[in-house]
Amino acid sequence: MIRRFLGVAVVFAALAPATFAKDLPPWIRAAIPAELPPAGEAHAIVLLDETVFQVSATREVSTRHRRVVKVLTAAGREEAYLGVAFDDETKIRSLNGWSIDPAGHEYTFRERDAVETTVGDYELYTDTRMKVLKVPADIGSIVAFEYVRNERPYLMQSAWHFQENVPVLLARYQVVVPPGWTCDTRWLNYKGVEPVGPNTWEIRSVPALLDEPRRPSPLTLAGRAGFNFLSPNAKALAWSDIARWFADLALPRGAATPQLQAKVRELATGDDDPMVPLARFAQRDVRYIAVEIGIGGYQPHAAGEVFTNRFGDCKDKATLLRTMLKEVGIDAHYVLVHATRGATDPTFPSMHAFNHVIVAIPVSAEKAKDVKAVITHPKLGKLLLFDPTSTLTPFGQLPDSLQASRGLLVTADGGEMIELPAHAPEVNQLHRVAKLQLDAKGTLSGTVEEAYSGNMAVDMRARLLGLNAVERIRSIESGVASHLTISTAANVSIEYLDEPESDLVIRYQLTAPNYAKRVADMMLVRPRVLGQKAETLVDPKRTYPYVTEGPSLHSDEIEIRMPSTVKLDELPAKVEIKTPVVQYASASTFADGVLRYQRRYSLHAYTVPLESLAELNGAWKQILGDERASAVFK
Amino acid sequence: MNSVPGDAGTEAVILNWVRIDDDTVSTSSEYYRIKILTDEGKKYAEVEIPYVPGYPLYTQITDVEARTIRPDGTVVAFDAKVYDKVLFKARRTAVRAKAFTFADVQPGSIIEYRYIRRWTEHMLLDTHWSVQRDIPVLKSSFKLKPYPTEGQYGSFFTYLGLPAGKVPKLMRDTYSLELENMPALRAEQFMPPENQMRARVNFFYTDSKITMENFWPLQSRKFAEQIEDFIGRGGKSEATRLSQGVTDRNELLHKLYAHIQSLRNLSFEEEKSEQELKKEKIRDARSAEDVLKKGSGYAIELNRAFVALARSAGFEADAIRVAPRDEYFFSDKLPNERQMSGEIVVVTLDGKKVFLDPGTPKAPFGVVSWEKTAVPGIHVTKGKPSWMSTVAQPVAADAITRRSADLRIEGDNLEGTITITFSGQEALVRRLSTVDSDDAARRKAIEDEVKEWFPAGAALKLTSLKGHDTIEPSVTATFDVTLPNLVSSAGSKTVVPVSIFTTQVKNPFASTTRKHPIYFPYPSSEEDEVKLTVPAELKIATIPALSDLNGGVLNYRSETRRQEGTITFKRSSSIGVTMIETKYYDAIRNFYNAVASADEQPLVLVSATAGGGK
Repeated sequence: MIRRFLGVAVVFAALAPATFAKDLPPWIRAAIPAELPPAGEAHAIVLLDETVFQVSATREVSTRHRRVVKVLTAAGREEAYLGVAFDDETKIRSLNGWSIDPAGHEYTFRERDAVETTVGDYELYTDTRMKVLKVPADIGSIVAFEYVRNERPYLMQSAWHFQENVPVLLARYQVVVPPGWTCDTRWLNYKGVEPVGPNTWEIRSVPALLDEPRRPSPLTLAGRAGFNFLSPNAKALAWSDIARWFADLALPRGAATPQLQAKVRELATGDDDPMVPLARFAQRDVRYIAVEIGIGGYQPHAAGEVFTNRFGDCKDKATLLRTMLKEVGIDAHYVLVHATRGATDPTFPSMHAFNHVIVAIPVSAEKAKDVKAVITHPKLGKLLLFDPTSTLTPFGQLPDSLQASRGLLVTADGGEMIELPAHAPEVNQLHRVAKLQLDAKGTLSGTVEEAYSGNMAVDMRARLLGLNAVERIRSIESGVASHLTISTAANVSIEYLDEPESDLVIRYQLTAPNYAKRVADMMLVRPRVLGQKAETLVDPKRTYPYVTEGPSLHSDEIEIRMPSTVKLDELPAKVEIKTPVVQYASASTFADGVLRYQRRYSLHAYTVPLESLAELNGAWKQILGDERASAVFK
Repeated sequence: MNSVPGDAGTEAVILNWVRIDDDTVSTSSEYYRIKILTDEGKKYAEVEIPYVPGYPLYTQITDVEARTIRPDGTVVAFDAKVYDKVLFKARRTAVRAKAFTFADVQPGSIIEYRYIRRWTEHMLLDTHWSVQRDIPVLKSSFKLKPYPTEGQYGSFFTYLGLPAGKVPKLMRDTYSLELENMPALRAEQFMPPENQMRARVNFFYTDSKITMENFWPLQSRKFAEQIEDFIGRGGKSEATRLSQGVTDRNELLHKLYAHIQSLRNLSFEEEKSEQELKKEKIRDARSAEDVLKKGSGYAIELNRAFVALARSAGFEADAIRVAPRDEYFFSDKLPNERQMSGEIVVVTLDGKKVFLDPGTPKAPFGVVSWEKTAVPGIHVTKGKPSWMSTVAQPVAADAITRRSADLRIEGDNLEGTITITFSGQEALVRRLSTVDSDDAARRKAIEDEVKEWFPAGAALKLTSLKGHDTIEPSVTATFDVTLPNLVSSAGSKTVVPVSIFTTQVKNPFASTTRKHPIYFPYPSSEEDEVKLTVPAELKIATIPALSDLNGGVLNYRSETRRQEGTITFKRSSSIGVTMIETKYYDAIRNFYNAVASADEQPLVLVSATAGGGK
């Protein structure tokens, strides 16, 4: 993981003791309007969010942030907390909080009242910490915070996140630069506004981001601005500058050690392409452990150190793999990416656009046919994108969250933005075959085999690998029970669980008493038996596009041998759906005493635009109807 | 070794664990030898040892040593990079952690580490050995050299879940315990509290006058003195005021209870800063009279204020100190008064004992929050305190969920209204889940809960929510609903589930195996009634058959009746106990399967113009 931006955050912490109250600063009172605008269902409304970002000629930066919020509901009490990050190179100069409760009592809190805690949960160690200040907040309270933080940023940039999950009455950002310096501004997810004063921008009545289920990440929706602070004659950072900056940090870390070289020789022996065993080594034999101190948030550890320790974070693993590949003559490249699809906005080149590192490995046109995660670069030819951190993703594929996104390819002469490929539905499959029989009492029994590939296999492996043998079987039993309330899954076998390159295969003996419903002289049998494909119907009035589970292909082949005593009365109708997002075909047949159900469902998009939601709902409704339909026997 | 017998697939196993506590020199050393069995098990190679560096213990973690033994037997030395992390630091306290990891850890590797925890000498700490871990422990050894109290202190050991015949043994001046093959604790749905199921050993220093025999009698008297002293003779003027014009004793007791419930309950508010406490003049009350005057108090204070009020109004009322069972079950072998942290009230009304819980906000009259029911208690009277083995034994009728629906078939949807009523314990549970919240949060919580009962796409509009922010016996919510994805086809026939509130219920006992007893927090019952109007173009072909399942402590009955163009489905079920032994698991599983089978019986409709049916 690449170090996150040292920002502010609303976090929860133990309550701080307090000092005696003092008079409120005038800027708080000035921010409180005589009358609040309607806030709809918002839990709070930000009355003022103001940042003054001051850059000195020595490239030191002082940030003063002020915030005033009115709490409107119980859930809005989370605004009572403010967390300010700092590290060994970043100092919090002051941190204060105030609160006015609905009865008019005023409270003042200082930095000494704050709680300090380590930031993050994935690092074994980081020098980034956070001071969290909490002030009293009840429904109707006004809370306010101010902090001043000094730092010397690695790159002369900043970001203004003015759109939040609650409405903002007034957002203001002011930049103060030394004489002769200029400020380059980029607007992201927003049309932009003109300055109201020298390097000062104000936006009033910023609407809240709506909390809709399965909305795209807020990173892709929230309005924000990015700034480059330019000394005389300097240019705004381009993507190639970002790539070069990273390369300067990372490339010197790629020296091979004799032990590393020996390991490469050991792994690369034989006729097979050495790329695969080396990639697997970096992916599976090197534990993910992050230790980030200072520039270590961006700079990898030396390849030899990572090799010896057999642990490191994403940039360490990428560095080790690059170094090993170089030993066999393959010049692989770093690719900086963000683990949230679409979070990297191409309009504002910045290191903050990334939080993860993978590698791009040159492959021959022949090899490229065997793998999925390939792009064609005009100069470098075919490049296989590989994530050594994702231990469950098969070689040749990209983790789901990185597909259909963007990355910064770091090359010898700088770097450039690239589009990361999306895998076809056929790469991510669930194929289910059931051979069952129904007895006269209505009990269904027989064998079921499920084969998972691609991201479907990654998800299932992730679910099962954290469990012991008994828990795995329980998990599978529970999955079956979600389709068949009364059922037993016996003789469960799980094959290739530890071999991500192979399909994951699960087999079990299914018994479902009372599966067939006896109603008067009829026997109702649902041919579908297992699996539910349609997702929750989407509210057509939603504001944001709908994010799906991602492209995949599911196919079922179900056979049910019926008791000889019953005769077919009616079969469910065939269903066929073809839309750009969903394709589905199912058919039930009955011949030679066997009820057969075959279906094929494929999903073709990560995100469904608003104009396609009605069509999506129509498709899912049809699928849900098909899944509930029964054949009638007498 | 690639797996552990009886725990196949475990990600790691502790081969050897040695812990030596020496209170004479204020140290505790630990040694672990862990075999990593799978990739998942590599997480055990990340070690974090929390400690409190400041006053009063000034703890240090020293002498950290570690190494990795590769599967081929070669050793990777530890590079001694031990990081010191801030976990939490405030003005008066801090918690830090020593963090380190091992090099070259693969499945098959063995990792070893040891460290010593040191703290200020002469600070006597209780010792707790949580001998059961989340992975199996093949061999473990524990030693404790207590501080030589020389009559100044007493000490106790308590145990739970140790293998038969295994107890700490005193050899000279040191207690020791050796264990082998301690299985991992694996959680199961509806199991007793995890803390209760985990094998453990506790060692306590106590007052020298305390013995196992006299601890609880002495503690009972201590509780009684504290409680009766607090209750005192207060509440007279308030009782007089509240009694004015009320002649019915039952009504009066309800009025007194409602008054206490109307006071501010500080135990259920967010923790306050010193500044807020000072501004709002909040401080611990000294007496029941104090609570009544201030109009606020913590839960136990309110409980005692109610006793004072009730006694002043002429009722026979006492406090009962109880041992809540939400995290642990009470043990009289554990001389720790903190086990008994709850209080309720018993009042005699019309010759009957009534248990009340005025310290729990929004508890209906006569409802005691479940964790304080069916537990041991100390009945505190003005005279001698007495033990009660089981306080406020609950029954299924104390927690009822009633669900009714009036629906019609509109195309593929069911449309109409549903009304949900949570009574008694069920009402209290919902109220407590949003106790420090507002109406918007309460409405959302109920909407979210009810929405889960229906298939995807259900549209619910909460039209009325009554009784949520009250102490009324029930919470009632009414919804307008449109329910897609329930009606299905079977050729030309239409199939409709009638038990519409259970279509999404997953069998919690789907697994064929069970390790732990089955534990329900409280007995409960459900009563459903669904009225379904059939459109003119369809007619009823068949209705579900009567189901009556009597499983002793578990019961179920459903019945469908047809009238002209409508059917009415009634369903009742109840769980009459809290704990069921593991040996009855198959019977429980079969019962749940039978219930699911009965609930799945559908209504079948055919075209009104088709032959047959009525």
